[in-house]
Amino acid sequence: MSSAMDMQNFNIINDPITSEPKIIARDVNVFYGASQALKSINLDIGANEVTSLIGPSGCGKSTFLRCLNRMNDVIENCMVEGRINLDGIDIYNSGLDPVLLRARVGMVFQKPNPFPKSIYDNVAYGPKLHGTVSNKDELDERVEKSLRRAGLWDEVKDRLDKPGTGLSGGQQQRLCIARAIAINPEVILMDEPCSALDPIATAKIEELIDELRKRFTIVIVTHSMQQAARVSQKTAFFHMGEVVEVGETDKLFTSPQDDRTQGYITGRFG
Amino acid sequence: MPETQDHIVSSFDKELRTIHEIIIRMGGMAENQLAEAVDALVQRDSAKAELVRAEDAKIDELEEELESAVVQLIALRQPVANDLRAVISALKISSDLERIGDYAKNIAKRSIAINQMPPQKSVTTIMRMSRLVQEIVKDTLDAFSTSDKDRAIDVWHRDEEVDEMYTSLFRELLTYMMEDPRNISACTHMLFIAKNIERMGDHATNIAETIYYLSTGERLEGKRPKGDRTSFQVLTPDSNGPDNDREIEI
Repeated sequence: MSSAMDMQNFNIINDPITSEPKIIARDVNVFYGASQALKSINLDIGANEVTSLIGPSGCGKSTFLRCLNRMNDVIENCMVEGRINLDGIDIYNSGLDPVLLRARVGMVFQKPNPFPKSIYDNVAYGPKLHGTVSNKDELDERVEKSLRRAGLWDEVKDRLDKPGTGLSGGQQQRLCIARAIAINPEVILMDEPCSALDPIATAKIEELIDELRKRFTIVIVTHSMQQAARVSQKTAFFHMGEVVEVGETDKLFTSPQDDRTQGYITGRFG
Repeated sequence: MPETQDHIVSSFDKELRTIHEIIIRMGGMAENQLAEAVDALVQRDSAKAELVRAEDAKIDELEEELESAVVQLIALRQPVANDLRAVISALKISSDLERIGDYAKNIAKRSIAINQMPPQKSVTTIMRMSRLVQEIVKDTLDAFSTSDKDRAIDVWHRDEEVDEMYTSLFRELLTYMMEDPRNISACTHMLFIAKNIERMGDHATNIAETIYYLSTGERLEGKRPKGDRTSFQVLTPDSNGPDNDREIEI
């Protein structure tokens, strides 16, 4: 566990990006074998807001995202240095169980990946596994609530026993979001959640993200500048393993401070 | 990444260049229209004035052309950052330039009326004022073509001179009108001409503010310098000239 002393030292580092950070990353380095993917990242993720991570392929934004719930642990040769705090707890060095961490920091992936089970079981799986519900009624309620929050309930309520894989791509992605929020996480990580979806399904997910941020802290990796501009309050621009610029989304997209940011978002990079 | 670097999609650059060029052309035409309109007045050349009136349509056409280019670029490219500022600024600047053109046309129209009347003494002051505004418009356009924020700030401050000149011309004209009521008709036209030129200066100031935003992404802070005090001026019938007028400061 991180000591009080640790926290004090920590607060001295003065790089506040937001006044109420949910997650604080300081001096994070990530190596895949000999090659360094992230270089000394300092970034705050504000509570109850959407932070988008943008940057060219291979810039380290997904690597950073996966650091936030220790998804990099399972990658061979991957080494994470530095400190990432979730509500003041160091998620790497405090003996925190990664499984419990991932219950608090959920994730939605690029390609919808529902379990080959019924729609109901997809959503019920997490609460059953973590034992956060005590009986069938509670479970039913949790499933309905999660599907409602994911904006999917009306479309699937009459076919909860049908396989989740039979839904359309956009519905599957919302099912995955419902599955993620069913275990009441605090943070939701999204890795290009709309890149496989059509504009209508994308708009529904974006509307949902805006709704979800009232309850959850959201970090989204996206290749779509417009999506970052539409859904997030803060944007961080990654380039070659570094955070080049981070700030209010509206400011970053109208008057970026760094020439590299401007070059990238206006399509001049290269 | 330097700002001048080209886009990966080269047609995007071409469209931005087109928009930039339209503004430069509009600016050159507006500047020229002012010069020609005042020449028509000074030289009492009604034919030239007619030409100015006809030429204004070309500026209007360019404004429309620019507007559709901007709308199309926004719809198809969804510009951000400096690109977004460039197209929004172009849209604003074009409407300022179009107004400058309208004022020149109005001067031309009035000069045709004035040419029917005896020569006016105040013409020389109008000429000086118009030269100053022409310079300001020209410098504004230079600041635009180089995105030079310092030059824009300089232009922004110079509008005060125009306002002061206008205030003094206002007094001069009132004096002529009081000397001889037969001057009233011509002097009123001259007063409107002076006001038109003064308004052109204001539009140049707007353009300067836009250029500042274009190049920095920030608004030009601070109160705009003002030298026009005519709205507070009262001339009583029994006073004889500019020295006797009362200024009421509100």
